[in-house]
This record gives sequence, structure tokens and C-alpha cells, in this order.
Amino acid sequence: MPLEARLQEHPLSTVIACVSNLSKSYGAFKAVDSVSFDIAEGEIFSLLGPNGAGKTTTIKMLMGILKPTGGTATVRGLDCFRDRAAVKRFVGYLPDEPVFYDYLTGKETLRFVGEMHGLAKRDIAARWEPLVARLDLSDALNEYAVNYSSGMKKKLALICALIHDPAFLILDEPTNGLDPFATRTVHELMLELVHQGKSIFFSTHLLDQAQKLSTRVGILYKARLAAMGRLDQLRAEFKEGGSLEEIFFSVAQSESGAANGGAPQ
Amino acid sequence: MTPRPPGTARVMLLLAGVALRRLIHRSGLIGSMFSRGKVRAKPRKASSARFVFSAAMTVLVGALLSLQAIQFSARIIAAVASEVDRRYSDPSAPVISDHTYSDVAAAGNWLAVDEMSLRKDPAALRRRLNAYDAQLRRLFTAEAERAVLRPPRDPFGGPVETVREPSGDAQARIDALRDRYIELYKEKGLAGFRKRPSPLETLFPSPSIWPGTPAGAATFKAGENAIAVTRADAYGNVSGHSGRQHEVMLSAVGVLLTLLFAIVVTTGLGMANQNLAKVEWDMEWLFTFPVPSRALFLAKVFQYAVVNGWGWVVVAPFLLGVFIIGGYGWWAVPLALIAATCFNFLTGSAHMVIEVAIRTYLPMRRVKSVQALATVVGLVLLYAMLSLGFSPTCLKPIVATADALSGVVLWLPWSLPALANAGGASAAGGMAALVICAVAASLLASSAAGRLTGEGLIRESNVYSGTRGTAARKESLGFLKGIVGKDVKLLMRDRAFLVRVFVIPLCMVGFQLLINQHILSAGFSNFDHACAIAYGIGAFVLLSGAVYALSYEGKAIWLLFTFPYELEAILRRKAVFWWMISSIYAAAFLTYAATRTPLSFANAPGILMAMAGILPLSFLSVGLGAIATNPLSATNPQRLPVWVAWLFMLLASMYIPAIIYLPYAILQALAFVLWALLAFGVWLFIRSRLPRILDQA
Repeated sequence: MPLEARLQEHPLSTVIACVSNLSKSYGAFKAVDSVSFDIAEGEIFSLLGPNGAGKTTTIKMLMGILKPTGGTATVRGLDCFRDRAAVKRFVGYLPDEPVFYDYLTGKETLRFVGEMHGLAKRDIAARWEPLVARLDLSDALNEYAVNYSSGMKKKLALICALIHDPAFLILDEPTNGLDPFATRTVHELMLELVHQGKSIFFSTHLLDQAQKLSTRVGILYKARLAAMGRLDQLRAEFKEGGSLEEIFFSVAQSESGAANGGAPQ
Repeated sequence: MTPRPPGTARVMLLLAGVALRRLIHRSGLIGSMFSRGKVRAKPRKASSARFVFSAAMTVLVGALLSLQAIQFSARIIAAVASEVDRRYSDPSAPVISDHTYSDVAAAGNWLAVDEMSLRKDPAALRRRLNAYDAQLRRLFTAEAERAVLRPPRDPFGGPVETVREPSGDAQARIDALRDRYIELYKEKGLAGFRKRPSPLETLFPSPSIWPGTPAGAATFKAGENAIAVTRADAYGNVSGHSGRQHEVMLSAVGVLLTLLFAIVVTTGLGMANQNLAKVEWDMEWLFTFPVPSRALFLAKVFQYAVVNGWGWVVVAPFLLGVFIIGGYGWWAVPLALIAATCFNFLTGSAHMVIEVAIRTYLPMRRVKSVQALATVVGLVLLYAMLSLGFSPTCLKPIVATADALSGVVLWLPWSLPALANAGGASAAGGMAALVICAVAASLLASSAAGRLTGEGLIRESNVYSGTRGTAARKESLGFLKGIVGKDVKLLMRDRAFLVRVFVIPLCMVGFQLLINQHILSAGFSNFDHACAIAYGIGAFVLLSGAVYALSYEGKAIWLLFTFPYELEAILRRKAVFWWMISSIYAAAFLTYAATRTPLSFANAPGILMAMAGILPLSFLSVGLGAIATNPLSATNPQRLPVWVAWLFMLLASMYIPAIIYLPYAILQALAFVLWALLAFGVWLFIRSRLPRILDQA
């Protein structure tokens, strides 16, 4: 079935992304184990978890970079691996540690990304200019992107992710390496995008960030989704009246106990 | 209490241990030996088998290259020896075959057998001398017959025996020539003759390659009732290595070793280095430890010496040839390995110091230019070396240089292995001096590098010049769009890559013009040959550039996964781009060939096939490079394994005999369809693998 027809067939319901029993194994090692969640339009869903929990692997499967060994991930009804090219029309992606070409300036990189999304030259400039000004990157735009600091690379990659005005943003540790000013700007930008009806899925291990921004939270622990829901739902389930930090440690403790045959840690 | 930092030796040991452990973990071999029967998680299950295959291929290719290098070394040394012989021998001296030459020397050896008993028995001595005279007469008669009857030459240029019966007149000439040879031999010994080089000498090195008679050949002087074993033949003529000839040949080997030294250093700085301007991440990290910098640089020299493809595949076989020619027999193998190790430490020291000096003194924007220059210089020197075995015109400057520098060149540390042919104490002294020089050079280089980096590892913190805060300048090549536009911009700005893609093919063609003039003249006499050469040039451009189409993305490859295109669609555009570039080269050569050769309509299918063949080949090259790309490599994601080049060359070379040289256009068309289907099949296979290129599972 043609892509446009499949898109029309998919109802523009509140769900933009659907992850069902998603798994990824490397030999006998399970990096992601039967993870399921949905992301609604206009929602910010944050995926929390300690280092090595499987957050980046989940994101890479959503981006079609890794092929799931089990389960499915869809965006607007399109399979993230099988229809990966089509999915990218609606998705903007920010990796944890973006790397850029040695010999392209920041401006040329943005133009290249815009062109690859099929945008006209003047549209590309019109789209990046407000973002560049807001993220305070104007001075560095004529310099080779490889020279940027890690924070500047992150900003440039965020503009790359937004340049085609995607409906769904996938951000891997979006404020990692950013200064407090840029962090605040990114937070404001994320909230604005959500108000415009876009959806955001981001991974983080900064609990206050997740608490401040997220509509819903998923806690990934040792490759499994240990908990998921709105903050009030998680409070009710794990720690009455507790902060997200307290909930996170409570989940981690109960999961560790379960992994050790119920023995408390 | 603050712990005491480790010393130089301890640091070397620690770094060697880390390197060894990384190798073991990479192979997974040790782990698999101890985990037999146990079930355990293997997160990187695929890497062990891949490593074994890769290692086996590396060993196989290395062995093949080494064998070829031995053959090339023999050919080059034989060619230089022949030139030295020609330059210093009496031009009026008759040329005799190499086997007559060696048989005459062997007859002298035979004469000296049981010398003591012969001294006591004059009758036996007389019988031995008579037999010796008879043998000389037989050998020189055969030589005179060959000279008079002028036997036809075999296709490889060597003489063949004739069965023709000489006529009466010819017989008289043979007898006269034989008598002249014998008279000359009585007068001057073997020094009165010039030896015709044997084709076999160009296949494998042997002591007979050395110009003049080997000094070690046992010859003797016979008196009335006694034999005095000397370095003279039976007629009392000294025929060992002549002084000047021997000196110049020793010096010529020294010049060749100097050439090799320059090749290894320049290619190490140029081609073998992905980006000279970038300090390796591990070097930066190691600098954060409280260890002396000279220890780190000494470890770097060690690394450059041990992990040195040119050193082991080219220099070691050359040195093996030098030692075999020196008459060391099987001892040549360990001696060559020791000498090659020392040579590698010398080149490693030079490489490391130059690299550090460039990074310290030059602005980073200039470093890439230096790298490009080193690539070109290395390539020119390499071809100059190779051309010695093929082109007599290239030999003269080498021998002239050797003659002019004969007192100097053997003092250079890397030329010391040449003294192996000097014999006796000089050879032993040369080896000892080489070992001392290698150790001293490593220590001096590490100390110098430590001083050079006293104010930092690099001169500028940024790799490329910054323009932060400056007004926007007009963007160059702004009219080019998309993936091709990006590729062209990167290509034009990365001078090292630009040189590899555009200059090296030109150098290749230029040197082929110099070396294989007969091939090019054949190409201009038959347009099918010209078509084959044009296709070959196109294939070489693809090998230099298109194969790296995906790997060149490096760690920025993640960007390609954010676009609404399949990776295959992006690679298709790259393949078409490289097809256009390589076609320009092929078309340029065909245009040049057309000016040298009258064209006819009959040449049209050949031209068409040559140009058309590059299109599927460009897809093959891009596809093979993509499948071999390892973007997850932490150290160098832009490097490709060597099997890619070999497989590509194998596939590319099939096209020439299978299609271009087919006699009928219809057959060519049919074969082309099959070829295109093969390329399409390979592309389909590669397409199925591409989506998982970032997936290590």
C-alpha cells in the first residue's frame, strides 16, 4: 500500500508513537527487554533510567538505526525499522553525542540537513535563523562545526532536528553538556513545541528535568520498563507524596530486590 | 602519601600490556579457549569470527605481498647490479651467459677439492688439471656456439639452447672464439668477461646477482707440483669483486635503502595517516597521567615500528634479498628480521619526530597541506623505486648517485644493512652499528618529541582555523546541493583526500608512461588496449574515492539516519557522482589515445564497453565500501579493511578480458548484460545489509 494511503488509513488519534514489546538482544545479552508504551500527540514522555539501562538503544530502535529482535515500534502507524525513511519525515532526532563533518561550517551543515529534508534554500534560512538566535549560535555559524564545544554541537544538532518542523521529537539526553542558560532555553523550547501540538520523547537521567517537563514518565531499569505513568500515578503506586527522585529510587530498589529473588537490598 | 609515578620502562611495559590485552579481547580467542562448555552472555559474539577471518586474510595478503616484494627486490637489485656492471666493466669484454660464468667459477672450486692429497701426488694433480682444462674448453665451446649461432630468444628474453648443426665456416668461427675466450681467461680470469644477467635472477635473489665474481668462490693457483689456494683462478688471475665496482654496488644498495626509508616515512605521514592534524585521543588521554612524556613518545615509536605495514611487507623482503645476495643462506631470514626491526625503529623515530614537529610548529590549516605533500612525495618515491626494476633509464641516476656518494651513503644508519655484502668484519660491524643506531634514534626521538611538546601537544587548540564572530563570507560551492553537494565540498576542502582521489591516479598514469612504455605504445597501436587502460584508470579512481563513499562519513553517519531517505538511496547518488568523476578520467585518456591512433567505427563497441563498464563498477565500489564500513569503530571509522581493495580489483579486472577484448559486439553486449546483472545482484545483497550497518548484533 502506498505510504500516503497508509498514513490516511492511520487515524490521527492522540497516539503518535506506539512501542509494543520492543526487545533488543546482543547474543544472550538483553539490552532492551519487552518494553511497551504509547506517546500521545502533544505529550512529553521522558524515559528515565540509570546508565546502561537501555534508553539509547530504545531511541535508536525508534529511529530505525537498530533492528528490534522482538516487538514493534511505530510512528503514525509506520514501522520504525521497515518504513524508516518515511518515519523520518515526521521525526526530529537529537543524539546524545552529535558528531559533525570535519569540513562543513555550522551554516553549511544546517543547509545540508534542510536540503536532505527537501526544503528550499530560503525556507531553510528562514527556519534556522530564529532557532540560531535563540540558542545563541549566530557567532559560530561560519566556523567548521567540528571545532564546536560539546554544548555548541548539541545546540546545532537540536536545530538540525527541528529544521523540518517535525511532529515528533526524539531527544537523547537533550541538555547533556549545555550551560544553564542553554538548558533553560531548551526547556522553554520543548514546552513551546508541545503547546504547538508536537510530541516529544526524551531520555534523561536528570530527575528534576523529567519532573519539570514530562507529561508522563517511564523508568527503565536493567532493560525492562519498571514503571510508567503520570507522576501522580507513580506516586500512588510507589511513594505517596514523594518526588520523582524518591519514586525512582523506590522503583530501583524494588527491581533490584526482584532480581535477587525478593531479598531486599 | 602521593604515590611515585612509574618510570619510562614501567610505562612502556604497561602500554604494551594494554595493547596486548586489547588484541586478546578483540580476538576473543583466549576467552573462547577457557569458556568451552560454559554458557555465558557474549555481547559481541560476531566479532571473534570476523577477527579470525580478517586476521587470516591479512596473513594471506601479507604473505602474497611479501613474496611479490622479494621478487621485486631481486629484480631491482639485479637491475642495479647490471647497470653497475655495465658502467664499470671493460666495454670491450665479451658478454657470456650467467651459467657459463658460474660454471667456470664452480670448476675452480672443484679443482681445489682434496688440495692436500693433490700436493702429494703430482700424477693426480696432472689428471685434475687436464680435467679442469677439458671442462673449461667444453664450457667456452658451448658459449662460443651460442654466440656464433645466435640462438633465438625466448618470449621472456632469456637465451635458449639450439640444436642446429654448425656449418664448416661457422665451426671455424666457433673454434676461433673459444680459443679467444680461453686466452682471455688465462690472461685476466673471469674479470675479463661480463656476465649476462639471468632472467631467473629477477625472480629470486641469489649471490650471483652481485656484479663481478663472488669473492668467496674458491679458486687456486697451480704451480709445478703444488696448489696454493688463493682468491685467484687456476691461471693466477684475481677475479674477486673489483674494488670500485664493489664499492659502488654497496653504495647503490645504500641508496636504495635510503629511498625505502624516505618512502616509509613519507607514506606514514601521508597515506597511512587519516588526519595528521589530529592528535590521537589516546595520546591526549595518556598525557593526563603523571608519567614522563618521553616514555609516551617512546611507546609511540615502538607502536610505529611494530605496526608498520610497509616495514614488514616491503622493507623486510628487500633486506632478506640483500642478505641472501650477501651469501648468508638461511641465516638471511633472522638477519633480515633483525635488520627490518631496526630499520622500522629508525623510520618510526623519524615519523614520530616529524609528526610532532609539524603539529607543534605549523598552523593546523597547513598540516593537511603537508600531509597531502607527503602523500605525493611518498607516491613519487615509491614509483621511482618500482620503476628501477622495469626501466633502464631510471637506473642511471641511482648508480650515478651511488658513485658520487659512495663514501657517504653507507654512513647513514638506515643504509647499514648494505654492509652485509661487504663481508667479514664490515658486515658484522654494520649489523652491530644498526642495532645501536636504532636504540639511540628511538631514545633521541622520544626525548626530542618530549621537548617539542613542552608547551602543549599541538600549537592550536582547534583543528581548523576558526572564523567565529566574523562576518559571513560568501559560501563556496553553494550551488551544489544535497548529499553530492556536501561530498564535493568535503572533497575540495580535505586536501589529503583530494590528492588521493585526483592526483594519485594522475601519478599512476604518469609512471605507467615512464615504466611500461611498451604497454602504452601497444595501447596506442590497438585501440582495444586503449579502452582497457581507460577502464583501468576509471577503476582506479573508484578504488581511491568511491570505495570510501560511506566510510568517509565517519562518526557523522548518524545524520544520514535522520533523513527521509533509505541509506541505499543516498549511496545510489554517491555512486552516480563517482561514476561521473571516474568517467571523466577514462574519457580524457580515450580522447588522448584517439589523438595518437586513427579511429574507426570498429572501435565504437570497445569505447562503449569501456565507458559503460564504469557505471556498474561504481555501484560495486560504493557498495563494497559501504558493507566494509564499521562506523562503530572507536579508533578509526574511516579506515576500510584491505580485503575490500582486493575484492574490488578482482571484480574490476574480470571485466577487461571478459568483455572489452571480446571479438564481436554482440558477444560484448551479452557479456555486459551479465556483468551488469552481477553488479545488480551484489548491490541487492548490499542493500539488504545496509539498514543494519549501525547494528552490532
